[in-house]
Amino acid sequence: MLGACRDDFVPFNRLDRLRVLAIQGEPAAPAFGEETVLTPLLYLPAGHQVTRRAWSWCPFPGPASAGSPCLLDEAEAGALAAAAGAELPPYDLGDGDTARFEHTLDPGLLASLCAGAADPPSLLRCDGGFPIQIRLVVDSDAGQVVTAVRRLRLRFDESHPPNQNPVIAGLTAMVGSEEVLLGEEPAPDLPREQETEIRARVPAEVAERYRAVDPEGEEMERVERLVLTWFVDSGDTESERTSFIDGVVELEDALGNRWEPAAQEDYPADRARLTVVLRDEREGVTWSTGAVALAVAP
Amino acid sequence: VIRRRTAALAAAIGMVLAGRAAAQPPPPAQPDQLDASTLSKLPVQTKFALADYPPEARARGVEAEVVLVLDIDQTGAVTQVGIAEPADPPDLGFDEAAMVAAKQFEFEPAELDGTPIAVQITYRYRFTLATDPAPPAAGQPPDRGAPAPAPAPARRTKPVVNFAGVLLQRGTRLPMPGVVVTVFREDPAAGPVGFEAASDADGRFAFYDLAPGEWRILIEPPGHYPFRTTEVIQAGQRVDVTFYLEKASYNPYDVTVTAERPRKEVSRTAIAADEIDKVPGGAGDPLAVIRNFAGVARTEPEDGLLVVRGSAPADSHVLFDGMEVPLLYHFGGVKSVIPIGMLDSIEFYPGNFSPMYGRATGGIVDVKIKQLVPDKVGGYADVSILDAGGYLEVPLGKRAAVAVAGRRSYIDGILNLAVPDDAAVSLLTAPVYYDAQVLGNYRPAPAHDLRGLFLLSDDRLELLFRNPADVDPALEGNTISAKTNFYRSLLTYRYVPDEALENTLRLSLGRDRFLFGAGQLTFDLELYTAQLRDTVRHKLGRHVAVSYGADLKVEQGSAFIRLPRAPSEGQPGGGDLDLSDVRTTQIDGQVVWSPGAFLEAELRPIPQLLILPGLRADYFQLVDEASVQPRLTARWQLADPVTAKGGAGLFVQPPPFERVETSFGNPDLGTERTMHYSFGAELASSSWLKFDATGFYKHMWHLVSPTDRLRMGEGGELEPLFYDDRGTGRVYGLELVARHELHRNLTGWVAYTLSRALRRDSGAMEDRLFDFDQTHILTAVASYLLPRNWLVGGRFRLVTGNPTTPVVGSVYDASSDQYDPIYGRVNTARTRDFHQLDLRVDKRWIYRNWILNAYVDIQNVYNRSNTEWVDFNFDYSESKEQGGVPLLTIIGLRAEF
Repeated sequence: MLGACRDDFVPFNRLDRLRVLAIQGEPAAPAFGEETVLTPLLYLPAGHQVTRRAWSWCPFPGPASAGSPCLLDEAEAGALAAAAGAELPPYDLGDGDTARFEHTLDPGLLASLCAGAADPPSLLRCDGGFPIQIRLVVDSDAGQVVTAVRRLRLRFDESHPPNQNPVIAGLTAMVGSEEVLLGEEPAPDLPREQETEIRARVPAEVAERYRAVDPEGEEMERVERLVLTWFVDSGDTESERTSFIDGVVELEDALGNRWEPAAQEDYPADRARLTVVLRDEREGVTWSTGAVALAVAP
Repeated sequence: VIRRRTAALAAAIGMVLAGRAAAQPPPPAQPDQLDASTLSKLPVQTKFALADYPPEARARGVEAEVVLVLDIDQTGAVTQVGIAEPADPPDLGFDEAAMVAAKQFEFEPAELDGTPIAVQITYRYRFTLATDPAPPAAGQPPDRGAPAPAPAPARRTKPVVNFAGVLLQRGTRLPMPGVVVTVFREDPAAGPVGFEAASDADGRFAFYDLAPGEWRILIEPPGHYPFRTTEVIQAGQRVDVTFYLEKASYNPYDVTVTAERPRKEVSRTAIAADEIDKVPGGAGDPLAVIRNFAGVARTEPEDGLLVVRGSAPADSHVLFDGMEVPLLYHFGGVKSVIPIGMLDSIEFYPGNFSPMYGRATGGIVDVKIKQLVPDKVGGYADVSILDAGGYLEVPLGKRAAVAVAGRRSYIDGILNLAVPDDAAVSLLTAPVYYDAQVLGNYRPAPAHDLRGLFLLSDDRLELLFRNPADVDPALEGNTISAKTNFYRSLLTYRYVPDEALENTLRLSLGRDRFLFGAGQLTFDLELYTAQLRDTVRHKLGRHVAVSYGADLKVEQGSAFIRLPRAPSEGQPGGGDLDLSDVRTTQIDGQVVWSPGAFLEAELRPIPQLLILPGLRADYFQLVDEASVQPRLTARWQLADPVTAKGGAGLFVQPPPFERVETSFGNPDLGTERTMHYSFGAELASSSWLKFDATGFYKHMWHLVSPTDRLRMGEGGELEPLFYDDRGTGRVYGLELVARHELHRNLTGWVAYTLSRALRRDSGAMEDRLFDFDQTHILTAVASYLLPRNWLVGGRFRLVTGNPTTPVVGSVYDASSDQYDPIYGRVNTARTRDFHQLDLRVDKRWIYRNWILNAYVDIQNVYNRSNTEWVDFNFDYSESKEQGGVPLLTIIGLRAEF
């Protein structure tokens, strides 16, 4: 969304409340008969617990401005599917830390639903598979509730290779002249109120090549656009997100950022976390987290 | 006020003339007055008579001013004198003395197309005690009522000019005809001696055979400061001089030439260019004044939108001399694309407008281009914080004139200096705009008038983002560019062979180019436009006149568009684009014809009643639909100061092009329709104070409205309609206007609009508020003239906040990595009320050959934190109203020559 500037608010990438940062499906686009494991990346302020998780899916979600509700309830959708000789999995996907969705929808039915949707105007965008909605509702003991949705594309055309989730090989910070790999333990000391260069290690081949249709309707080869979101729980980063765009922004440029941890009075804790979520433009997602120690003000 | 008394055409001129001292400004242009430049000559006073100062007033030291109404016949004689504004205090004899003197005045008559005509003017006669410019006791000048060249000495048989000159107005360099020049001195032999001469039409005067030696000169033109100097005449030599005489006031409200056009519409606001330029809060922009009129909703300062009586911005048209132009402002609202120098006036019709105007269901703004009749080479150069421009007009003989103008912004230069090289955003092309105009007039004969205007405008901006994900993570490029340019050639031929026939033929040719690019998004449109319009008016006697005509608009467009569908009015999140739903279309040379014809009768069965039945027919090829639109307005003068008025009519327009285009909308949409009803009354309580109350109701149907409905495609598949034409709307309200014409140095108006604008979207069961529904709109504008060419003014606005749609929650979209707001009922909340005070101070410095005009426009004087939009944090759990203009000071300079 192209929106107005959002100054004076806590920035999007500063973690200070219950958040869903990403939902990964593995595999990213299941073929018929495959099961996708859905894993959320959650953030909870220290000392708080998740009290509820509720997973569900929906074949025909409504407009986002209305909360992306499911347009057909389970009975209606089931009846329609039965009329077409298919069977729908139950909408409810459980309340576990993760959820599983098995692609049992007839590829022929999905193909027919997508038929006529190749050219606008269309009801569905079926590039990469039939889109269904995955929904996760998370409650915390602080009374916070977050509802998150994502698309999961169910493949019905095996002629194109499936999208793979990207990978992050690690996160680093430049401490002095040394590039230090960040791990779960807060290894390097980062100065507060000073910018430190941080990087994500992402192999170049993560940006996959795939066949797509250009605006004129011609099939073409594209290189995936990658978007990195840089979450921190202290201070700010120079950019909330960076992106690799083939021919426009180099991958090396997209993998770097600068982090300025907050002053001690604004963030008293002595350690902070950096979480980078990497998305490709075809619903593939992964993440990596690293911790740093924050210097104590003299 | 001048009225041509021999014809239905009424003219109005305010003249600034005075008795023995500086004149005061004349009454200002009436709101229903036109430029009277159609008069080929104004009346010029050739004889002045000094009124006897009432003895009692002199004894008491009382000064006064009388505003007279003079009827001047075709010979220039004063045939009748009346009192427009009596002296204050009354009963001292000022009125009677001024009338006696005025009956002795003589004029060169006014002319229309070279033919002398009878007119009526207002004339200010001021009685002043302190400025009796008595020459030295040794010599008294002769009676000024009989200006004549000094008599030649008896010893010469043929007089010789040895002292001559020309009188020019200081600053403007305009020649000053009919001004008496007095020379006098104490002659050693003959005692006091003095002579007088009057300047001719070119401001020239001459004295014959003045005796050598030093002569004192005294010139006291009405409305100007007295001019005194000394010249030495040498025997056998001729002295030639140029005297520059300074006006008492150069304020912009010295609008001396305006002609009254009979009012025919229910609601019409007209404002002359000189006044437009000085309205506070406009920062010198000529078209900003429109937003101060009754019925116009307040919008963001720089958005360039015109919301009239609850109609959507696209429903109202802005025309230049009746012809459509694509853009009024650079960058949407920063500055007008036409300079003040080329404007005559702005006429605004908020509803029930004539059938001569079509393809619009809201209001009409008709920007009248100036009729060039320059007396001299002149113009101006101006600078402001945004741009610099110039205007030059040149007479080409007696029958033709040409003017050129141009403007360029220098925001690019400032930004290029201010933005560091390592900034997150680089300016590939810093924002820059320019415009250029050429205006020409040719009048080969009184019945023929040819006018041409060429207008060119260009805006461009190109930004390079180091990190496009900072703008939007879905953006696939790192540049954002916007280029807009258009040109228009407007040709007008007006043929007026006699009073019974008038034919105006207009042709407009132009090209528009709009180019926007942001990453993968593109909007590239090239549009060629031709518009031909002919209007004929027949006067069929004292009681009937008929106007009819036709216009044809042809557009040929080519476009490549790759954009999301734009949100509609009433859809929350109006400024956001959903990049996950980008659509593409290509249009190659599509031609759209829109012919129209109109007919309007002016029936005056009795002098007090004017009825205007009219009919307009349009064909819209875009939607293959024709419409016939009956319209009726009437005005009835109930009593001398009170006029009742009313109107009803049908107004039809095509749907927006983007809503009809196959990829973005519904090609089966039809025209949008609105019925206008209005009624009210006007009260002219005096020549300078007028009131207007107008109630209105509008019913809209067939409005294009977003819909979730589906249709069956050609292949049997279901397709979304996106839009249908099942939307409806209602608007009702009351407009109150009090207009204070220039009187006792004060001018201005108060406009108040009480209204409710409702819409019902397709499939909805109940009405909702229109996006710009503003219950109360109060605008007060005033300017006060101060001595020494100072002018101070202010504008105060109090407006109900705009409706907004509350956000009741949000959902995190893990695919796009953004939160989507969940909206409550549409437009069920409001931003806080808007109020703002703007002040403006103008000062003119008068130099011999030019005038320097400086202004300071202070906007939002008390730094009110107003709301233009509601901002949300990333998950929509917090919000802030912001966007209002802070305290802002704008300075501008203009040098006129």
